[in-house]
Formats: sequence, C-alpha cells, structure tokens
Amino acid sequence: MLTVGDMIPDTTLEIYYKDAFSKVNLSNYRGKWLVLLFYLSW
Amino acid sequence: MVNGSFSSSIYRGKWLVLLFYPADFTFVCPTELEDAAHHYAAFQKEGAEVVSISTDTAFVHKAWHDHSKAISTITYPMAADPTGALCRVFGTYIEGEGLSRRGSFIIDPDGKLVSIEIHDNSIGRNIEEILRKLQAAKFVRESGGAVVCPANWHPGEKTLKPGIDLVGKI
Repeated sequence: MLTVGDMIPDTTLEIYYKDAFSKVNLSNYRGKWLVLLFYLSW
Repeated sequence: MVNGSFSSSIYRGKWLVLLFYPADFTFVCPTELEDAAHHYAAFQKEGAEVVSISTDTAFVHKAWHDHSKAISTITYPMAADPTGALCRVFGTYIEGEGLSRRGSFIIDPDGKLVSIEIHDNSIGRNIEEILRKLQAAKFVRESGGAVVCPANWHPGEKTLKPGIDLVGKI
C-alpha cells in the first residue's frame, strides 16, 4: 500500500474519456500534477 | 496526553478527532493547531473531542504552550507519542525521521475509524473541512445509516436516501 512520499507505480488503466474507450498508463502523466479520485459503486 | 497516558477507550461514546503533526516549535504546525483551537468549541458542540499528537514529549508540549502565543490558545489535550507507537498504528510515522506526517482521523463513538486524511508535511490542513466531515459522519450515524451526504454537504442541507428510486437519477 502506498503512503505519502512514495512513488506511484506504472499502472495501465482502461478509461472512458471523450466518449471513447482507451487505455492510459499513469506514467503518461509524469511531469504534470495528477489527482486520482477513487469512489465506490454509488 | 498532558495529564497521564493515552487510552482511546476513554473517548468511547464520543466522536474523536485525532490530529497528528510532525513537531512542536515548527512553522506550519502552530497555524494548524491554532486553527483547531479556534474551532474547538464547534467540535465540542458536535459532541466531539479533539486530540493533537506528535512525537514530542508532554514536557515539550507544555514548553510550547507556555512560549507560543498561537499555541497558548489550545485547550484540547496535546498527546505525546515519543515512541511513535500510535503514529505507527495510524500509518503516519516516518521511519528514519522519528516524526509523524500530517494526518487527521475521525473516529465514531463505537471506536470505528470513519475518515483518514494524510498529507505531505509541507501542506497545511483545512480544519473547517475536518469539522464538515465530522458533521456529515455524525448526521449519517444519527439517521441510522438511512441517509448519505452528497458532495460538500453542510448541516441543514439536503441528504440522499439510497434506494431503488434514485438509481440512474443523479
């Protein structure tokens, strides 16, 4: 489990974005700030 | 704690807000803890106790309280965790530094953890947001879990009742 100060892993995720399905690796965001919002099913 | 050893079970039956911070006599900490002191009456009004915790000893807490104008306004318990035992339990301890990260935890009257927030130590907290989260958690609990609080919910605002009629409607 990650904690503050750790590096995030390179992880590929399926995404729905701009009315299309694709894949993105979190390392693609290196060089930018990134905000991840996890939520449950409701 | 300043007067004796810390036992979280003495707060059973009350809401408890734990504020971990890196160290006494530093720079961001007094602004946060002063802000918490400023909101302490509001937390108490909700039936919550606030306890701040660092790896300093209770003697250092006293010295800081005696010497800092900002810290002298604190009337909530300032807990000492010089071994880092409690910091380790809550995942705020920085091994190798002997300090805690900035972490805020809300615990319900049964002793169940309902909110975790951990920051990099360079980022100050928003105590008002912790109060808002406490109010939301309390409202949900007092409804018997019948309602949930939507984004940015404040007391008096509309809640949501999860049910089949809401599916696909929000």
